[in-house]
Formats: sequence, C-alpha cells, structure tokens
Amino acid sequence: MVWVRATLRLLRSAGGWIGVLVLALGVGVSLIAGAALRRSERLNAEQLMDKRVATVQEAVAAEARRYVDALQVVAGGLSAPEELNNDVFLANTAPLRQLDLRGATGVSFVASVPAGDEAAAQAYWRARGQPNLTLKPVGTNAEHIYGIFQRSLDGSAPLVGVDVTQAPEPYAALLLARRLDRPVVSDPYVLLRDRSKPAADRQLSFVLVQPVFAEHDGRLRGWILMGLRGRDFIEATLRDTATGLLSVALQVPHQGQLLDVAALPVAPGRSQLHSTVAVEVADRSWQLTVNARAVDLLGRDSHLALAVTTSGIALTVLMAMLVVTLATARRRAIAQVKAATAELRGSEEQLRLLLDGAPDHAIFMLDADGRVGSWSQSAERLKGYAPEEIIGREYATFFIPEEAASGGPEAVFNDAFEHGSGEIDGVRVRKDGTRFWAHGTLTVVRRPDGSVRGFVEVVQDVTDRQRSEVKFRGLLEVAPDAILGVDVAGRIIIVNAKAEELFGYSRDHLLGQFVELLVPTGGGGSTVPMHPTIAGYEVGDRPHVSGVEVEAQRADGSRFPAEVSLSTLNTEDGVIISAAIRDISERKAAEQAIQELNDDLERRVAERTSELESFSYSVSHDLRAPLRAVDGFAKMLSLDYGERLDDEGRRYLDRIRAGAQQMGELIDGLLAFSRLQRQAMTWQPVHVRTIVEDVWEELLIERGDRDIELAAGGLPEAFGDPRLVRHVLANLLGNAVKYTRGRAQARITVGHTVTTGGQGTYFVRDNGTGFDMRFADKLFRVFQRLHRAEEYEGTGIGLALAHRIILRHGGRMWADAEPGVGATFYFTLPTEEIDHEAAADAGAAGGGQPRRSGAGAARV
Amino acid sequence: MLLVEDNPDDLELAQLAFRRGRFANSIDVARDGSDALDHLFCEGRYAGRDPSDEPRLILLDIKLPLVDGIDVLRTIKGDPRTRHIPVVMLTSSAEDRDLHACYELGANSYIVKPVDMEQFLTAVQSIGSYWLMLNQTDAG
Repeated sequence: MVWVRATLRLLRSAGGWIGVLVLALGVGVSLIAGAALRRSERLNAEQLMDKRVATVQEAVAAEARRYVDALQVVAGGLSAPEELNNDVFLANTAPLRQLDLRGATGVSFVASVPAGDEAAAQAYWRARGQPNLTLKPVGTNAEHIYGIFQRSLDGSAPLVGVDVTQAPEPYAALLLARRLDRPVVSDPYVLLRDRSKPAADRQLSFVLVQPVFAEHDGRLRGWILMGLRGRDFIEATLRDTATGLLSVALQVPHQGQLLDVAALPVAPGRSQLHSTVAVEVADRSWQLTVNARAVDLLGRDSHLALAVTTSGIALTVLMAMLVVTLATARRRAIAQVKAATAELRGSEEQLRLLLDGAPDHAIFMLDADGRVGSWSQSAERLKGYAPEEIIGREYATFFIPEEAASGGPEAVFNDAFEHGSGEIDGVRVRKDGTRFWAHGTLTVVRRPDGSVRGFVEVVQDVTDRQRSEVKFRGLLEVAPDAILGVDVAGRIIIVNAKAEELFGYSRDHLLGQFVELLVPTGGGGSTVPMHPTIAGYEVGDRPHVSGVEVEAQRADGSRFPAEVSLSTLNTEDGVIISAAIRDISERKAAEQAIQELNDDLERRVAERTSELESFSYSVSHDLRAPLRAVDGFAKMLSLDYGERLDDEGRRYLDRIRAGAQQMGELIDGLLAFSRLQRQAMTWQPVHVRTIVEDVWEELLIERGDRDIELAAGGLPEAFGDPRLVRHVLANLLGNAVKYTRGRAQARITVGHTVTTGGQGTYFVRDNGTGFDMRFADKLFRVFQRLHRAEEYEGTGIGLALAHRIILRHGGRMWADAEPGVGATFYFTLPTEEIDHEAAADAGAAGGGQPRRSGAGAARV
Repeated sequence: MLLVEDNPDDLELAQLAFRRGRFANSIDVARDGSDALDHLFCEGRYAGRDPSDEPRLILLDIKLPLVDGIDVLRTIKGDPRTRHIPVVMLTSSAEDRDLHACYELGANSYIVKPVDMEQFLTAVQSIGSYWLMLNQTDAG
C-alpha cells in the first residue's frame, strides 16, 4: 500500500506526470516495434515456406514425370518393330534398370485377348519368346488382358499369364489409357501380399500404364504396365526435399478420401505454417501437404521481436524513472531548503531572544583571566552595573564577601573546567549591595587550538522561587500526613519527614524507587494501584482524587490500610503527582467495631420485635376473653333478670359493663400503639383530601343524625404512609366529632396553611368544648386525659398514637384551644421522602408541643 | 348450625345470643377442633350420626385446643363433602395474619368477637339473619 500512496503522491507533481508520459510512450513504441518485427518475420517465413513447398512439389512432379517418360520411351521402342517379341521387350526395358526407379516393382507388356481366343493367343505368344505362357482367364468379361512379357525390377512375382482384369484398378487404368492414348496412373489398391501385413507396413500400389500402338498399322498391340509401390516410389524424394520441414505428406484422392501415399514426419515441433498443393502424377492430381516451423525455415532462433520489445520496455522504464527522479529531486531539494530555512529561522529567533535577553536572564562574558570582558543590557538590568563600571573587574565582584574570600569564584571556574560548564547556584550581590539568589551556568569558550578564550555566563534571578521553595519545603516537612511526590513514571522524587516515619524508610532509600514499593498493586483489597497510569488516573484527566483506600506496606513488611489522595502539579520540570497518605488502621478498626455493634443491635431489635409480636397476639386473645365474659353475662343478667332488680341494681350492672368495655378499649388502644411502633413505614404520595373524605364517611355512626358541618379547604398532597396518616385524621376528626357533642351546630374545619416558619401545616379545628391550655403538654401522653371520663369517653391513647405517627413522618403536632370555644390541632407532613431515621430521632427530640410563655412548664 | 368454641363463657354467651335471636335452627356444639371434625364426618363418638344431617352454618373459633381452628377450616374446605357449608370465623383476634390465612383457606366470613355484649348480640343477629335466613346455601 505504501508504494500506491507514493505513486499517487508522485502523480501530483509535474515531474511525475512527465515520467508517466515517458513510460507510456516508450512502452508503446517498444510494443509497436516488436509487433512490426514479428510480422515481418512471419512474412519472411511464409515466403520461405512457399518456396520450399514449391521445391517439394517440383521434385515430386519431376520424379513422377521421369517414370512416365521412361514408360513412354519403352512404349515407343515397342511400337517401332514389325513384330513384338520377348527379346525386343527385354532389350527395350533393359535401360530401366539403370534409371533407379524406386518403388517400381516391374514392367510388363500386357495384351488384350477376347474371351474364347485364349488358345490362339497363347500359341501366338509362345512362339514369340514366351514358351511357358499359360493364359488363365478370370471372370466373365468379354476381353481379358494378360501379362505377356515381364521384367521384374524388385524381384517380385511375374505377371506373365495372369489375367490383369481381375484387379479392377489396373483394369480401369488400362481401359482409360487405351481410350485416351496417354499414360495413366491407376487408383490405388492394396496388393494381396500386403493385406496380411500390419497396417504400418502396407503400401498403396499403383500401376502406371502406357498404350503401345504398332507403328506400321497403328493398331493397339497392348500396354506397358509398371507396377509401383507408392511409398517406396516417393518416400526418398520427399525425404530429400523435406529437410527443415516438420512433415510432408503425399496423398491420393480415392473415393472421396485422401489416402496417404507417403507421409513423413520429419522433425518434432508444432507447425506454424502449412501448405497444400497439387502434384501432377501422370493423368491425376495428387495432393502434397507440407508443415513447417518458421524458426526451422529461417534457420535461426527468431526471438528477435521479443528481445526488441523487452529491451525497449526496459529502457523506457529506466528513462521514466530517471525523469521522475530528476523531477522529484527538484521537489525534494526545495523541501529540504524550506526545512533548513525554517530551522535557521528558528535559531535566528533564539539568537535574537538571547541577544535581546529575557527579562530575568543575564548574559555576559569573562576573558581568560576571569575578568569581565563584555557586558549586556540584561546583565546591567540584573546586576546594576553599567558596562564602563564593570568591564575589567574581577569575577569575585559579584560574590558576597564571605564567599569571595572562601573560594566561591574558584569553585565555579573549577567546575567549568572540569565539566565544560559550571553550575551557578548561590547568593550574589548587586551594585547597590542588595543580595539575590542566582541560578545559571558559566561555560568555557575555547579557541580552535584548545586554549581558553574566555567564559560565558548565563544567570537568572531566582530569589522569589527560592524563597517560596524554602517556604513550601518547610510546610511539606511539618505536614501531619505522609506526602510523596511521584513523577509520571511512578518514581518517588519528593519525600517528607512523615513519610519516612510512616513507612520506615529513610528519604535517601525512597528517592528514585517506584511507588509500588510502598503500595504494592494487588495488595489485598486495593483496587487502585498507586501508579497513576495503571490506575487509569490519567495525568491531566482528573487533577484530584481523594479518599482512595489502599493497602500499604512498611519497610518491615507489615501492611496497613491507608487512605490516599492524589493531585497533579504541572511544574517546569514536568508533571509531579502529589500523594498524601494517611494511616487509617484505627479508623478501619473503629468502623469494624461500629459495624459489629450495628449488626448486634439489629439482631436484638429483630428479636425484640418478634417477642413483642407474639406478646400482643396473646394479649389480644387472652386478655379479652374474660372481659367478654364479664360484659356478656352482665348484659344477659340485665336483659333476662333486669326487671327483678331495682334501679340501683341495674346501675351496678351498667357500671360492671362499662368497666369491662373500658378495659377492652384500653387493650385495643395499647395493641394499636405497639403495633404502630413495630410497623415499617411505607413512603408514598398521600392524598390527604381523599383520606379526610373517607374518614368522614366512616364517622357516620358516630355522627348519627347530628347537625355537623364539615368544611374542607385546600388539602395538598403530602408524602408518607397513607395508612398511618389515616389513623391520625381518624383520631383528630373523631375527637372533633366527640367533643362537639354539646353543640347544637357543630362546625369542623380541615385545612392547610403556611405558618410563620414557612412550613406547610394541616389543621383540624372544631367549635367544641376545647381544653385548658395549661395542661396542653399532657395532650399527647399515653393515658393522659384532659376531660372526665363520664363526660367524654376515651382511652387517652388516640392522640398519643397520632402524635407518634406524625413524629415518625418527621413532622410536628401541636394544639391550640380555648375552653368553651373550641380546639385546633396542627400537624405537618413532609412533601417528599426524607431520611426517616433522622426524622424520627429529630421528631422524638423536638417535635412536640412548642414552648408557651407564661402558663405552665411545657416540656419540649 | 355447628358452634365450635372452647371457652365456656363465650360459648354460653353465644348460645344465649342465638336463642334470643330466635333462629329456628338447632345448635350443635363442639368443644375443640377434633370434636368438630368428628361431628362433621360422623366419626368417633358421632359415628352413629346421620351424614345427611349437616349444619347450615359453622361458627368457628381460631384458638382451639387439639386441632386448631385454621386446620379445621382447611379440612372443612378441602373435603368435597363439607366444602359447601358456610364457615364464619368468630374469633377474638384481629391479627392480620389470621385474617389473611382464613380467607386464603376459603372462610366465608371473619368476625372479631366484641367485648361489648350489645355489639355481640347485634353481630349474632346479623350473622343469623344473613347466613340462616337470607343466604342461599348450596345443598351439596
């Protein structure tokens, strides 16, 4: 992928485009040249091919003509004499032996004999040099053609006396030749003796025939017939002419097919060129097929085209690369120049800064003797001397007397000589005698030969920093917590006294160590390793982290729980992470103890609660049973035997019943009270208005048919336990109904108001009998009543219960009344969920009746 | 009607109350849970009882010796022979969990015995009127 990008980048420059162009052109030209070369080569080859084929064709035709000519000569010789006999025949055919007629089996003189005339013909020819001639006719033709005289050229069997007409191909050829009076070559046929040979050895046979006419009378004497073995006939010719070719084949058309007379694969290889031409053999056209390779014809390896193309392309590529390099070289050179210029500019800036002098840096030079050689504005600003005042003066002038006397300047020089530059860190004196803390370097300036030319001092006033450093170092040392300064790599670079004490290491031992020495990572329970980057506490990410609990380890191997706070400090020396570590073993122990205590308390509370539950259960059953008996039987007594008692007796019974019922109510009240204490509060929105309406409905029985007016103002929603709030309202409204019994028209108001404290308060007001405010503090106490039982029944529990409930909601309840006028009960409810525990506690402490000035001692 | 109650005072008062209400029905009494079940299923000392003579209402207290009221309720409502008989739990406990358990098991009604005899008489009157007169029972 890199080179793709490089290429693309290249293309963007002009040089790159030229390179591409050159490449394209060169490749194109090379390809074209190569193609042209190849084409011309091919043409060459084709031309050669044609020539060669022609050669072969000529050769074959010539050979065929030779045979035909030979026959014609013989035929001519046989037609001349008056009489044809064996001697004439042999004489005429004798030269044939010298002619090297390859493939020719033999030459014969054949004559036609009409059927039936065999005997006469036989006798005729016997007399003319063929004494053993026996004519054997075959078939039912009208004429038969017999071999009369014969000369064998290859030692094969004689045709003498054989009826040639039995072989259709020779017969046909003879007839044709007679008719056309010309030499004729027969169709190919396979000799009998060949048929039994394997296919590869079989040859096609032909006969070449030439009619013989007697010269003196023009009558047909017969024919000269030459038997030919096709392959033998032409193979040699082909071979001689076929050098450099792949294959040649001579084929004869026969019955729609092409039969191989002779086929020579000359050499292996793929043919690229082939040619097919016709060859005249006697009266027929045979076919000559030639295959060749261009390379064979041309006689050399014709890779010229390829070579040209390849070298052309190679050259082109080289050229293109060269072009590109040159082009980019220019670009690169430019880029280099730019970079160098920028660098130079940068150092120019620096130099300028240096020369101008930063406000608090002073630069001046000393000569080889240690006297002030050159001065600058910055030096003047820092030290107060004008150039003319200070040049030539000793270096010691800048030192305070004590140090000048005790070898201060020498120490700096020695340091400079030893290290090339000496450190300056100490008090110096200005012209006006004021002292300041100096920090800088004194550098030796040498000549090329190594001798000292002088010194350069660069110095800074660091008085302020020094002072603050001293101050802060002091603070650090006396800090009550162990404080460490850690660098980004996790190494300790600052240690205070407390740290040494806490961990048991000396400062020197700690400096440079990794902080993990003190807070091993993975030390049980610690999930925040100290090393800032490991902890995910990215420097700069969160500048402060506190309260991280870790397990720390002292020098003696003991571990202790510690609390760590981290913060980052960006200084000119880099980022320092400040870590304050506190040993929290005690705290942890205390926490543990508290937790155990709490658990214990919880357990005990749970025990108590279940005890109480079973207690109340028993109470409600068992205490009530006898009461039922008392009341029940008292009633039965009054019902069944009442008329036998006097009024007093009946009154006693009523008192008995009253007592029992009272007890029952007390039990009920107590049970309710205790149940409330045990109950867990659920916190939900409380629809005060709806509760008021429901409670009013339920008070129907108590209300009876009295004329009681209920006015309900705005009653906003509160937050708390609806069941318990219902209790409260049932109690308050029930009381209101009860204590307004004496009124002809009772009026009860329920509403919501905002008191002076800014808190929303609900109230229930009645125009009943009221009560004396002097005894207001007894209102909410259990069993305490402010009215006589015979006037108003009651247990003295209801209000205490209501009060308790409000307290548990974190609210306050109080009352305001006037005897004979009425009473108002106020209570507050939260509007959102609060911390119940705190509320209950607070409520228990101060949610009661507010202090009343003047009358009575109301306990809050 | 079958009244299952162990406390002699409560028992007598209940009987008096029902008599005053003049309900025509006879009142059978069982003094504990086991006795109640024997009566219902004609076992033990009630072996000779006619099973078709079943109570039209069972008044059942929770706190009973031997077999406790809740268990009796469970048995009654679990047995196809007695499931259809209305059971009114008459108990002195207003504890929530008893209430819940009784209804869970299929009690038809749950009433807390008031201390006040007047109230008790009224309650008995209501129970009698409703369950013995008004309510259509399933004959089983």
